[in-house]
Amino acid sequence: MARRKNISQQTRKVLSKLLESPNDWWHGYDLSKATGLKSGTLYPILVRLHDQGFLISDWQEPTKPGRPPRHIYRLSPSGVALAETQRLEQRGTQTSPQERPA
Amino acid sequence: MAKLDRWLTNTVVRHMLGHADKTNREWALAMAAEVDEIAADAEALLFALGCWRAVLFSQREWVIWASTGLGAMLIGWAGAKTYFALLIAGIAPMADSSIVPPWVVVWAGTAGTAYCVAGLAIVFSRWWVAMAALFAALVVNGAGYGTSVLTDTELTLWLMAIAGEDYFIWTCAVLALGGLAWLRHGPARRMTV
Repeated sequence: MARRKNISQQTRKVLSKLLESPNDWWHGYDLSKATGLKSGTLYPILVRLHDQGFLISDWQEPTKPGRPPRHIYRLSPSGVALAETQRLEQRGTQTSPQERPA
Repeated sequence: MAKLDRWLTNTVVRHMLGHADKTNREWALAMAAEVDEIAADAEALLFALGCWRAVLFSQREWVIWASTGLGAMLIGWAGAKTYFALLIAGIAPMADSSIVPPWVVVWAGTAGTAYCVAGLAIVFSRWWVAMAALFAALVVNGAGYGTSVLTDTELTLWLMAIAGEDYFIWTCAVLALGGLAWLRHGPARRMTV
């Protein structure tokens, strides 16, 4: 039997936010503001999701001269599937509290 | 204040980029670019500090935790030793210096200082300094132990006990330092959140 992935609440937050608009690219700072996660928590999550293939990243050319290029992120197809599974699991937990262990 | 924030932010980003290795260089650059986008200086500083932590911990999370713990232990032991030196020198509260020869004060103070230096060196990953300081503590403790036996003072028994504690601490520190060096130079470790 495959081991169930243990996903933290913070990772779920990131996945849920990215799932709201799966085709859009996000910057790290915007994600941090949208999820309320500090950079020290957010970036290790992004690195891990990226390493596991759930996230696609790319470099965005600067819009203003003299600025460095920025990293942008969005869910990969497997990331979308993971985020949807997580969302369904979350809903299931929220709607059936009587099934929780005492 | 804004200038100070900006200077601190730039320092943190420089340190982060300087410590990034090939495993997380790209991520460090991505984080630095995000810091660059934030207009509010205090917010940029907090964001940069988080990024700095993420980069450092992604490389050697266990080394950082272990070295901080070991360093704190040695600094704590140095504090106890220094208090002991003050106590027998008659400076600290409850001191009774009537039976204590001066060399004991020098011994405890020197060993305490050596442990403190070793602890700080470990916290800041200065491994050779840590080894040298621990070796100095070993020599000083050996000298103290030997002198206490030779002079056969009333202190001999409890000096032996303290020296024994010192050797225990010293052995733990050396073993932990070896482990840290292995972690630092061993296979790259990636963080899992």
